[in-house]
Amino acid sequence: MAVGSCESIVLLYSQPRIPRSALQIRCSSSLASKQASSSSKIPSALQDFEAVIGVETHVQLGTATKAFCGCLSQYGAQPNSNVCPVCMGLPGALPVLNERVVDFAVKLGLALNCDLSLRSKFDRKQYFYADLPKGYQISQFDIPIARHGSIEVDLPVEYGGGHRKFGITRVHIEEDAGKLVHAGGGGRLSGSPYSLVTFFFSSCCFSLLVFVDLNRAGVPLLEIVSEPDMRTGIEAAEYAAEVARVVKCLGIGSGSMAEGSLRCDVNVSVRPRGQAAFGTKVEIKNMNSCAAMHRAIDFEILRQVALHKEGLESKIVQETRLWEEGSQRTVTMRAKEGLADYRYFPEPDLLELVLKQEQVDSINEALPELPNETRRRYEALGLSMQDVLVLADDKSVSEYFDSTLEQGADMKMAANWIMGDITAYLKTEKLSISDVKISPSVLAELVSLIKDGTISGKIGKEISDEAEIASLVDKVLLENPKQLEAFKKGKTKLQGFFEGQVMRSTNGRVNPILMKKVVAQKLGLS
Amino acid sequence: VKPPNVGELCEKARLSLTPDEAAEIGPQISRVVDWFGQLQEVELDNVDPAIRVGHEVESQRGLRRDEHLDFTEKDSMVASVGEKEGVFIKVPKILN
Repeated sequence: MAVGSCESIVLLYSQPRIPRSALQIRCSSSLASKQASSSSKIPSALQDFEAVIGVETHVQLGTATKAFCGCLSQYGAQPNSNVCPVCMGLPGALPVLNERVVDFAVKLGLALNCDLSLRSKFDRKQYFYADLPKGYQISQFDIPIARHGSIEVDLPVEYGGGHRKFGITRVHIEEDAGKLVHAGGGGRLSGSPYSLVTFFFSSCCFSLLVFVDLNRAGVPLLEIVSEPDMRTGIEAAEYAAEVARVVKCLGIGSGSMAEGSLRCDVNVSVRPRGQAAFGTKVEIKNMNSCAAMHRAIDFEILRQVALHKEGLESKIVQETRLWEEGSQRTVTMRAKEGLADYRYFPEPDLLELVLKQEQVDSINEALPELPNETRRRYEALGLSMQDVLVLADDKSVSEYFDSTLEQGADMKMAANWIMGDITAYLKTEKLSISDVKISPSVLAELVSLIKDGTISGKIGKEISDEAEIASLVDKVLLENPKQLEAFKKGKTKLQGFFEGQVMRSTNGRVNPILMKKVVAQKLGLS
Repeated sequence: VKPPNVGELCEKARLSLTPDEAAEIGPQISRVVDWFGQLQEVELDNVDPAIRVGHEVESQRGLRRDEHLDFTEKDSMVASVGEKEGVFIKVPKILN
């Protein structure tokens, strides 16, 4: 019965089109198809229930070297080329903490409005797995470097907009594990591997070989744990997108879910509206984009609510489920056999992590403008929320925009140019905004010329070279011999037809006055 | 302190003990834990809790610079790995 309702739920969520953009438009617009906008209203089925969602994020730091040794931290290097006794866990090797990891951790803690622990420590999180050479992961257990923070997001306009503030429970430093490669493909899913051992067994029992690449072992991570403040898939997805924006803005990592430098796991439970006690928490892994997070969470909420409505809430068990991108649903890994016991104890090989207040203060003063601050500033300038969200999504775009404004350009026109034509150009040419050849000052000049009325808006992109127009007209006449024949025989109205065809062939970008003149010439009318 | 569950401990540490060995080791573990239990007798009313053992040495923060440094014997280290498949380290199939 419950399965039946899940099938119908899947139909509601048939895969939306995901338009691409070289400007890495915020995750929300990747769902900005007509199908998605219908899910912005809460289905009536959900109104009696409230979903409680928490997100755990692992951020890979962009330091040159690993957390505890001088090996390079390098994506795509030949397997097992960036290794040493420390990160391979060979006997006698000792870890030494990378000072830049501390710097980045402080930056992120401050950007997330956290209380920093001026004294914190490292602990050993112990378990056995092929990609964990030491048999433990160096992490921070009970005294993390940062706690009690918050992050503010603006929900996409197409989902009703709105401002939210979500709590951050903690941020701590830890090291990444190596990579497993199976002969049958696959590897470790993001997050804790404890329950994944069983996954490998069930899905890869025909794989006799497991290969290990330790290049990634020891790469520094920051783990961010949110408060369970999110209530919908879009809220959680936007939280993740904002974390990625902050990471990129601070310059502490590439913050890309697609590349694996930003990994999110979510915890989802539902409870009848008004109930104080939380429902059973289900963990979801294997989401590779903000859009996937959105869909996975919304699916899981409906799955749990459906079970409640059938009186089958006992079937919701504490487990880890995987998001299947192909079938657009969550599926059970094997149910957890009790909680993992990591036998944490303080890492004896590392000193206490001590921060000096002066160090923290100077980092705080040097923080760049954060994405939320940029959005508030653009709102105050009078831009629409839709424009604000696009322009403030990527720091290099907002810097370009700010630069254009500094040169005196009209705000609304500069915004439209950047969001419209420049975005389209970058998309077709596959460039990023820093590559674009129109410098902010040139764009500002162009914008002011348009504003003065010196040139029309279309001129900026117009074809007005007569020789070029002539060859375009020739092409059109060649391609339409029947109409040319008819014109010569007296159907003079076809002049308009040829003009239209030339206009179409340039997507409206040709100077109309010049074009008409050339067409008339070529038709022998002048 | 509860007596140790030797079976559970073996499971977590991935050790196999015969029933005789397990019977013998249980009391030994208890005696070690009890010996450390002497620490409970220390007066701690006027002592601030420490985060970890070891006193802080002002001049040494225990940090290193974010600079590349390869292990000098990297090639022979990698070569001495038990089983390889090309550049990968080969390991037995993972069992639960």
